[in-house]
Amino acid sequence: MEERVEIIVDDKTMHAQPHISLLQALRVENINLPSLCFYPHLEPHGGCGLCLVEVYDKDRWQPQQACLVRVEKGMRIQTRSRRIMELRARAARLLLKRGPFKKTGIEDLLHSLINEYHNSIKSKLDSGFTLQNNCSKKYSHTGCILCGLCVRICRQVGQSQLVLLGRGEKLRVGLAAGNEDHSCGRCRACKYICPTGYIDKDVRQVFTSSLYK
Amino acid sequence: MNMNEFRPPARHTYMVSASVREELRKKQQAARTVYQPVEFEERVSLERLAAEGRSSLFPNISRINVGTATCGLAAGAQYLSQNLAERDWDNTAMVVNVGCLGACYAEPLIDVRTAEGRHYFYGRVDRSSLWSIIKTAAGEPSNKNLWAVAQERQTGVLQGIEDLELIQIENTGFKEFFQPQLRRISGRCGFLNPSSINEYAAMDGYLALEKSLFQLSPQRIIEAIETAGLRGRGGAGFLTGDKMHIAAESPDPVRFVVANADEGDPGAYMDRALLESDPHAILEGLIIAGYAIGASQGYIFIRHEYPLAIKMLRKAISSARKVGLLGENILGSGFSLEIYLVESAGAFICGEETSMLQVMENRRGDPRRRPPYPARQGLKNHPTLIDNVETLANIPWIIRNGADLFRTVGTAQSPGTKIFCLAGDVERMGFIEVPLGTGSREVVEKIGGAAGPSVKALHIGGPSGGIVAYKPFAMDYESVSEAGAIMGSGGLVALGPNRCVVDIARHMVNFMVDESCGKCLFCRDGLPELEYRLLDLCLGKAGPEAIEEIAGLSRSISDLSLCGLGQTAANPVLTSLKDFLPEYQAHIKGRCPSVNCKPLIDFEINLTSCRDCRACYLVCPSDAVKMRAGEKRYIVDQQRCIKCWACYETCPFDCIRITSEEFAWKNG
Amino acid sequence: MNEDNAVNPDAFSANEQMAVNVLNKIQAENGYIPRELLVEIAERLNITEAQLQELVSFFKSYRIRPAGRHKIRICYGTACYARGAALINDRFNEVLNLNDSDTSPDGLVTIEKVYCVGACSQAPVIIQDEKIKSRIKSFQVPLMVDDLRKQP
Repeated sequence: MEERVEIIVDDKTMHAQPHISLLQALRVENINLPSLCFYPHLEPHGGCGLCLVEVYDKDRWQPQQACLVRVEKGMRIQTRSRRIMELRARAARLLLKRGPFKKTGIEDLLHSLINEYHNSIKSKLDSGFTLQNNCSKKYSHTGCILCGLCVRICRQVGQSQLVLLGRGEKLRVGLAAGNEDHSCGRCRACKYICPTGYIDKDVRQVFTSSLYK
Repeated sequence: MNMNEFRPPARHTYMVSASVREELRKKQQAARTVYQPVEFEERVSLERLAAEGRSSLFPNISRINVGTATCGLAAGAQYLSQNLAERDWDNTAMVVNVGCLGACYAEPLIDVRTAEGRHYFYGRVDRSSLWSIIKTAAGEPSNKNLWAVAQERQTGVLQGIEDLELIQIENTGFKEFFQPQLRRISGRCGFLNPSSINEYAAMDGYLALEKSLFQLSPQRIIEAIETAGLRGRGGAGFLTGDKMHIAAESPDPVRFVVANADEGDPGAYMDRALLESDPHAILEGLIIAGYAIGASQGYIFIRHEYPLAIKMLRKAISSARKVGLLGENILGSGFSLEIYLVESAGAFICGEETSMLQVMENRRGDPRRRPPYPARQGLKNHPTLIDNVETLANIPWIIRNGADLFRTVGTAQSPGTKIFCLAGDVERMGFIEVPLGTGSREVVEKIGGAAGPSVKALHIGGPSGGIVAYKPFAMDYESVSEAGAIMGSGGLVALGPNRCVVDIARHMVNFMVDESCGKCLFCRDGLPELEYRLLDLCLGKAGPEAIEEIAGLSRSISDLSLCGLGQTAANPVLTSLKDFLPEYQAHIKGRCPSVNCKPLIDFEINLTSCRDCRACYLVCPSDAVKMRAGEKRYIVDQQRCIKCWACYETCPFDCIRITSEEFAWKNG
Repeated sequence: MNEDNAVNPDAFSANEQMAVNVLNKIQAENGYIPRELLVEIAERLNITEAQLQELVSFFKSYRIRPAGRHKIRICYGTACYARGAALINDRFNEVLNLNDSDTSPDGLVTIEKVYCVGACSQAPVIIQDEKIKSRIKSFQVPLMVDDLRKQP
């Protein structure tokens, strides 16, 4: 194991193992950032936008997703600045629109992140941040936040049957072989790893989209 | 020809069967001398290539250059070129399909070079003016559609339009378009046959490669690029020399060079123009770059929307390989490089280098985090130098003419020239090359020929660039950033007073929504929300808090996206909010100041100038133009009107008026 | 599927180790990418079919179903948009009863949006079966469709 290096988190000095994911290092130090798409044994993805920190780079604070940042010697980090809280609240609001979620607690977490920020700002009108999201946009896959955990775990332990199809707004998780019988190894890794409880049945019933129908 | 077999019909007999006519046509065509460039099939010296090229570039008969790049084809050059080529010239002229001279507004553009080195430029050629071209080529210059006449300063020397002296100007705009320009990189475009390696060699092509291979070490080349201060022309403006340096110093012996020709910015087509008009220049740049960093393989990543450019590149690669300028042991120097084409299939994000590399490794084009930069760890984790097409085209110029000469134009921070694509509400559109740091006024008003007040805003750098108010500023990397935009690849769209800035910003965000890869939350879900909010503005449904919300959301999108696409996706919104806040505010009140947003405008017919031609009545698709009895009889039924602009576009007397009022009177 | 559709072994020369190049070729030959060929390419390139599916779905121009008899591409670049590309698109939608699909119910036309074909000076531009038509006005659209209907 490499020698632990010094990092400065919220003006406090602590030690962390270098070159690992910052999110992981903070968890070891009992600083728990909210995060939905991180799993220690999988390649970090940066899909949920909640594990935010500000990293001091050159001459300014740069918001980053902690899971994607590697620990380096002497780096300075903030985890609770107002900017972070605002961005986190915005991310939470975007995620909420993909709800409702089947797993309990997710929505409470997201609501608490929004409220936390909303209560902290003084003049609520000028901030351009509204508690309710009055945008009429609706998504087709309710409950899936496209964190990509299932796809990544399927690639690692399963049979590489889950695929990310399309891009942008139309991005969705699908089954490579469609609903054919041999399509899935049924290891259920995806079911256990899904953070929102979207995969609660047989994957072939959950993921109905495939490239070829 | 056997006379028993084929007898031409007598002059007065027209009763010829179809089969005979077809036979006749074929025989006549076979008898015509259609110009075919000589193609060498084996290794030859550059001198021989150049000699052959000179004989076709400066022949002792007339040479008719027809501009048949995509813009020319769109204007109908194919027909003209075919018509001219099928003519029996009897060895007095040859017809050559060349690329784009840059004056896209003048397409189809035909340049007739007579044997004594005089060039007759014909702009906006149509069928009716073909005769004057034929006459000119036959030695009797004709003036119909003639735009300018120029003489080669020294007959048989032509590196670009600077080598021509204008001696007669029939169209002043043509001169104004070219005068402020400095065509270094694009000079050959429109004069040489892009599918002929000989003609490229005759215009000093591949001399830089020869010089690099035999007189310079790779280190000296990188030094030259570094001294020249060449910055990446693709958008970010990173120093090319630095990238080469990093790649060349890597301990990994396997290295790659990649030309980024995935030019997705709507409104920017300089890469297309270069590849279609002068593909060998890019090839030469790529080979030199490959030699400088010690690469063994090169790739050209090109978007499939450019079929002609792909065709030209394929041709260029195969002819360069045949004559020994590519492949094993280039020019006998011992250096070998293979170049492959990779065709993208329609994804803007693949212009982002990490995304491009993912696709080249057969994976989804989701970008990855930088660092590590591709110059350290790129394709298959080997050092990879990725350069934009225009950047590569600069490299041979620098090697040939030296870094000091390169720095004589441009600013200290951004030396050299830059190609911009001028479009939108200007008189003369086209792709232009000016020294970096040239004023925006000079570009838009002098070259573009727009009257100052008729331009409200400039949209610089495509969908990731900015919409800034039209004001004088210098066009170089720093000043453009100061003005709030980014240089991008150099798209430059002038927006007139009746283009709605909010709508254009929404369109840009819509483009980005379509093109986002979907990996990061803010880019995937934040951009559609941003688009919806902008759409609400355009529909007149937005509340007073909308602008703050839009600004906040835009900032978070640029803060938290992983790649360059996401980080810059909200730029058009952020920049236009700064310069055109009143326009956004007007939309909240339900008024579109530029009378552009459909739900906020009304069509009216100005009956005083109406001449009762019924055009609007006939063209209206929704029967919204009603006819009443009596003299002043047309009226627009606002309930039925679908705001398709058909009447406005059709009316020959400009009687249709479009208005937009604040909501107050509607609600009150 | 007839034998002509089988993947040409030459397609896997060193030049075409890139899946996109092979897919482009197949799309050009068939008009779309049949599943059978996708499986075959995945085997030849030694990658999983899932990975290839991700790649295919990532790009806009790949089709997984056969297209209409005619293909009309509407340029949505800035210059074309500013000069009314959206109006043209709306008119096509209306005339062809597209209803959010890209191919008309009678299989006559497939409409595609493309971003900038690089002919901005001639905006708005559409490409009808590889032929560029420039300076289109929206009221020409029904006439164009009629012309296509009359064509064999």
